[in-house]
Amino acid sequence: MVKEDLKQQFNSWIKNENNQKLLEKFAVEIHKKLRKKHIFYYGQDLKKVKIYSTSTEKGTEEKQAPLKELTEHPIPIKLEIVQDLVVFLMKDEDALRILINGGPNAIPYTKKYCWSRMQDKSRSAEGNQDIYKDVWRLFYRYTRDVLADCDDFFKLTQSKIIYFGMTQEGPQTIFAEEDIDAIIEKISYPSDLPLTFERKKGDERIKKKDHVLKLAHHFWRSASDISGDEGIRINLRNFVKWINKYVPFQRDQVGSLDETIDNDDTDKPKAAIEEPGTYLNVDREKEDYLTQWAANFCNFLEDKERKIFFYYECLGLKHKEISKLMGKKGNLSYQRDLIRKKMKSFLRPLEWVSPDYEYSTERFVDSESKKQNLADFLFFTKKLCKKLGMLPELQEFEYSELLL
Amino acid sequence: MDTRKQALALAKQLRTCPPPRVKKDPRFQSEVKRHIDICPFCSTDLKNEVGAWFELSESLEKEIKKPGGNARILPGQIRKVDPGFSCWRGDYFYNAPEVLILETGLENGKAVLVAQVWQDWLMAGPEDLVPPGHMVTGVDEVFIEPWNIYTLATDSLGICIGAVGSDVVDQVLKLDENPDDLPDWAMKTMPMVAEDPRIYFRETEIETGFTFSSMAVSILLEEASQSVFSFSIEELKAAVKEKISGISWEWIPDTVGECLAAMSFPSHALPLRAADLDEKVFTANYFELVGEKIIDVKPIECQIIHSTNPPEPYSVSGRIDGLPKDISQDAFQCYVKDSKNNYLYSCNFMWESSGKFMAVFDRTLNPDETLSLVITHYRKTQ
Repeated sequence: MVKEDLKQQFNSWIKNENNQKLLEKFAVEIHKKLRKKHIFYYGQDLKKVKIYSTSTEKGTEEKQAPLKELTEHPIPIKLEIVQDLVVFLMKDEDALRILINGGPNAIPYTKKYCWSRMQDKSRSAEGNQDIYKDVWRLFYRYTRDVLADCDDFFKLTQSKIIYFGMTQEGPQTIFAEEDIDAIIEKISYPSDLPLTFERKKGDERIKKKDHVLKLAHHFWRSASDISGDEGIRINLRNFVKWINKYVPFQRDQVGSLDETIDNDDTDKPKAAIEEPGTYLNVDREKEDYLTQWAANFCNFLEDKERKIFFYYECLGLKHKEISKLMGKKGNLSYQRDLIRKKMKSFLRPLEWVSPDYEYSTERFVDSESKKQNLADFLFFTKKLCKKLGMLPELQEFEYSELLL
Repeated sequence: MDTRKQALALAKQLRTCPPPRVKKDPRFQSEVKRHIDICPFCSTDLKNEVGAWFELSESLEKEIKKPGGNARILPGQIRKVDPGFSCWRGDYFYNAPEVLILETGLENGKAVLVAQVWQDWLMAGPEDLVPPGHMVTGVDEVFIEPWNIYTLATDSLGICIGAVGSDVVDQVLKLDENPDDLPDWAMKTMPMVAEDPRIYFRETEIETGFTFSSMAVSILLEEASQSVFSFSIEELKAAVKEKISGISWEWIPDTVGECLAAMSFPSHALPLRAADLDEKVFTANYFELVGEKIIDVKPIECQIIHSTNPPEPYSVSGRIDGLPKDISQDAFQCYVKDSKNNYLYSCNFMWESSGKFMAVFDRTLNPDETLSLVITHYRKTQ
């Protein structure tokens, strides 16, 4: 009774045009974020826009898709997104309750739904995808059915994502995406199994079903050993991706739509994992963000902190010189270190300028040791020093050239 | 889907960025401007997702009535702190958190003991208690922070959004004493690594907890001083002078609180102690009452074991010996006293029955500021 009441109230609420606009705004912002991860809209976007990688590798001339096409949402898509979300909320009691309670997990919960919904749509006939030519999806479905049929595995679906595990006993471990990626990175292909699923006449090959099951047992047991969690649950998609890393699928594969579609290169699906330098129109957009963040951090520092940071990090002055400038007897390295700590805290939740989890070393890597991020961090610091150097209290000095 | 870094970005915005209604409020224009100047989210389009969510959430909350009364506050409930208590502190706007009620009926029913919670498992780490889904009703992906327990005024609590059983509540209280004592049923978390985003998340959680617990302390202090001392300032001064001659005040007090905190003992009343140049102490003002009658006034020596130095915000920890065994947390009122401007700032104070204490302030002390502790003990009549 109570649940019906909530649905009825929500139904009345959504009939108000202003409320529809609020829901629309929320849904559109979620999708913008997903698009930045190369997770595209339902079919229509693929037809409209040709996407190029914005890799900064030398020797490649890369074009960037016109910004306008990527940020404006045609009206039909907007309405479709909202309609899907409303249907989802009316059907899924948990989702409606989460949204109405206003807890912080409403955003990630809605995002997961939108992500899996986009995948569903992309597979539909409307999306003009012929599943029989898509070896990836065929294999995914085959593997799903084989594992579901095997008593050694149990299946779990959460937010429309399929997971498998080998035991339901014992408390679960909470893994982030980066944790799972780090674990999978360490699982090698079993040497006693062939690196192909093709069966040629007269050639003794393992049966496909047995092959998949052997791989699955190896994969899940290895993941369990590495993680220390016997009941580790892994997204089926991750398992298929792992196989594909070693076993090439057919050449004319299209690739599933959670991965970048590049019409110029259909041999290898590209990872949808967020990586620096692969955003759409990233260079200009990234520079804008980094410049703004440098201004934010400059404003965040107190007057004394700005001076200390400027002298140490921008001008590279020595302890004695800085102490003299600041009118202090002792050196100010402690204060400098506190400011560096403040900067770390400021940058930690931000893309490009804070450490990413390095799978091979199983740790977060400092930007100094990861060249790709170093350029971004240096750009940020350069902008910061330039901003500091323009402050009236720091213009009185003779040094005209900054270190950065 | 999200990485821990992205989950941290979301948490920081939901905890410390002003929602659109606050950004539009003309009363807060200078605070909003300052926040936008320093916030990497609010100064860019990164704010849009959370901003859209805040607007949607506020509309749903206003127009949709949640089921059930839950008017009675009980241990095990997960409640929102009333959004009306969301407030600015420094450059940030602290949005009211959700909390797990651990104990009720404190301060004669005026206060509750709570543990802060968060609803995104990606931010859970060692020493957090993560109950599996079947042990929680009403909310998803919630975890409890046994290292972030504090007192709130009962009146500051909002609606109930979920609940856990008494076994979970008991476990939280056990973990407060022994953080390694995780139960077998708790979900496991990955160990922390260097620069783990969860480390930075916990900094935000501590700041949030401090914000709301300090507010609660102020509310309860004000209520306590109003209810305990029913006489006027002049009557209070006369009653105190009757007990010890030579008592003085650093400034003419305007409130009962100032009368208690700004009071100084004459040298003949201060305790003798062996000269120990290494020992740091300060003197607390102790009042003992039976009913509404003051029966004793004396200085109590408080030993400082550790204090922080600038630029760290001021905090001090130590021991107070010789207090009655039945003295409780609510007997203590801690301030930072500004003798130049004749002002008292509320200071967060924690007391353990073992005699240990900790006082935490949200900034460094100015040269004219000192710590002031008032201890008001109601002795039970025989």
